[in-house]
Order: sequence, then C-alpha cells, then structure tokens
Amino acid sequence: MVSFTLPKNSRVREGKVWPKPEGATRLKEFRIYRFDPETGENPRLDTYFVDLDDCGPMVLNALIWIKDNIDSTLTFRRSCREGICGSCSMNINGENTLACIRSIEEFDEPVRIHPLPHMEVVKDLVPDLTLFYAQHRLIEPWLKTDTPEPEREWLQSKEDRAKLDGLYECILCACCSTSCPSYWWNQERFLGPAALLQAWRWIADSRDEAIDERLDQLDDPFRLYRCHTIMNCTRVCPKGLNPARAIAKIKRTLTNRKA
Amino acid sequence: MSAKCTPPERKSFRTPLGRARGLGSAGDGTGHFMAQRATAAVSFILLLFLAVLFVALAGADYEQARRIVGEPLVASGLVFTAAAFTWHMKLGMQVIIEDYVHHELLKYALLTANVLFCAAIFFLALISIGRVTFGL
Repeated sequence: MVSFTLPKNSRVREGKVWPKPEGATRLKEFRIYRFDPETGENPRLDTYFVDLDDCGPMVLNALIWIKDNIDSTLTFRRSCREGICGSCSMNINGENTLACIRSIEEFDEPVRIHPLPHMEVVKDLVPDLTLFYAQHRLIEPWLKTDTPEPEREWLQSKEDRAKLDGLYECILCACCSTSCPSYWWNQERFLGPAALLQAWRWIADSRDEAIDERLDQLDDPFRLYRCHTIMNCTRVCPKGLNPARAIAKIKRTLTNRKA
Repeated sequence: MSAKCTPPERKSFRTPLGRARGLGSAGDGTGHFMAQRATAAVSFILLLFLAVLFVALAGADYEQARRIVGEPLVASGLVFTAAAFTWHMKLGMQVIIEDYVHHELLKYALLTANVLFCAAIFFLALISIGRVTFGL
C-alpha cells in the first residue's frame, strides 16, 4: 500500500548545528541529511556553514569542503566532478540533480541536501541503487544479433546512428527514476525512466536483431505502462535527455505492433 | 560485539536481477493502453455531441425532450456515450487502484468493485435512455 507519511524510523529530526568557520566573511548555510543505519537512530538534518571564499563554486565543492574542514564522517558518492560519472546525484532544494555541475549560487539559503528520494539509504547521501542497476541489466543493454558477425564492425548509416542521439548519453545517475512517483510507489515492478530510456536506445538501434524480444519484455502493465507521462524524469535529467519521449516511443511501437 | 555494530538482518537473499525480473512480463498492457486512449478520444467527440444535445433540449418540455431523445440516432448516440464514458472510467480507475493499492486481497476487491460500479452506471444509463425513448 502506498504510504503518505514516513515510517516512524524514517522521520527526519533536527540535527547538530556545526560551528561557523572562524574569520570567514562570506558564509552559506547548508542543511544536510545524515543517517547511519548502524546507530539505530532516526535521520537528522545537520547544519553546516561553508566559507565561500575558501571553497570551489559547485555544490560538490561545498560537500568536499565540509568533509575536509568540518565533519569527516559526512558520506556521499563522487568521482569525476564534471557530470559524466553520475555518482554525485542527490536531491538539492527539492530537485534531483548532480552536485558537481550545479553552482552553489543557484540555490537559495539554506541549501537543503537529501539523498535521492524514496530509496533505501546506505548512509547519509548514499542511496542503495542495487535494484536500479539490476533493472538496467534486465533490459539487456548490449547488441543482440543472430546473423554471423561481420569481419569488421556492424555497419550503420549516418541517419540510423543519429537516431541514438539523446539516448546513449545517459549516465545512470538515477535522478530521473527517483523523481518519478510511479517509480516511488511501484519500483519493484515498474522499470523506471532510466531503464526504459536505455530499452528504447537498443530498440532504436538499426543493428540490433532482437527488437521483438525486447518489446515482449516490456509489454507489461507495470514494467512499462506504469509510466503516466508525469514528465518529472525529463524535467530533472542533468544531461538534458528526454526519457518521457523515449517511453512514449516504446508505447507507440508496441501499439503499431498490435494494430 | 555491541548492538551498534550489528548489521540489519536481511529479510531476503534474492539477487537484485531476480528481484528486477520478478514474475516476468505479463505480455499484456498494450491493449489496455490502446483502449484507454481510444475511449478518451471518442469521449471527447461524444462530449461535443452531448453539448449540442443539451442546447437542443434547453427549454423543451418532457414530451418534446422525449421526441428528441427518442430519435434513433440520438438514442444510439447516448448509449454509445454511456458506453465510452463508463469504459474509460473503468480503465482509469483500474490504473489508480493498481498504482496505490498493494495489499493483494484489497486490490482484487477494489478492482472487482470498480468493474461492478462502472457496469452499474452503464446499465442505469441504458435503462434510463430506453425508458425515455420508449416512453415506459
């Protein structure tokens, strides 16, 4: 059953207010979600003050600054710091995005940072994305062919290659899927926008020979049709992709197959 | 070992891929999707028909209204409207129940109630149109 309130052990309480850095003139307040499942305590929102004159311009810089200078226990994922690895996806002021490509100045004070919504939390800003990755594995994101492999590469026209633009760039940051209410309520059965965008990426690939199998896999009231075109996925995608359009194309292809 | 260091007990050791695959694809869903879109489009057109009919009925007494509604084309249009509206209502409500109700027994009870309710509305409309048309 859908739950409209948080379970008791998930209610977020006010946390610790960390001291302001000494001598700083330009400060910005951050309220950051903290949770450690091993303590058995409820999550809390800790308040930190970042010295903007000593910190890089992006939200990820602020998180690293906090970890380096104030609280080394703050836990988050990050790697490339330039929007290509998808590790630092989180919810900043109510919006799922990548902390590394969003400037601190864009956000009103206090900047509220939570993990991606409606996912189990491993610790602090690190959500459990195991099922999310498995759903990507389920759509079999690789070229499937029966024709014997050519001596060189599988050929593709420029026009057919262009059909993959706007699809292959997905970095699996999970911003889209975790912003989707259908995914919140039914993530065990609905594949979510990220996996469906990739499903369409392979259906749309002129070299693939398993479109029928791929469509069979998706023709399901939950896997595909839980998408109600809410469009949060497209609104939040930090790479500017359009999963909602890809899902609509899958639905249209299935309709064409049937009608 | 203190309680603090004990990891939470795992309720299932099913692999993530096993969880994602679940019971597999139902091989169905496109029919529902097509029916929902088709009934939506048809209902929109029928809404215009209803608007025209209401204008025609404005100010008419019961006998005049009975004559207009009793026209075979109008009566058929009304039955068709009732069918399209209630079918669309059934399909839409079904999706909402499936979205939000995950308790198995409650879900099937509500899905059944939804079908019965929409069918009841349709038959009520059908009998009412028949009664006006045939002057029973």
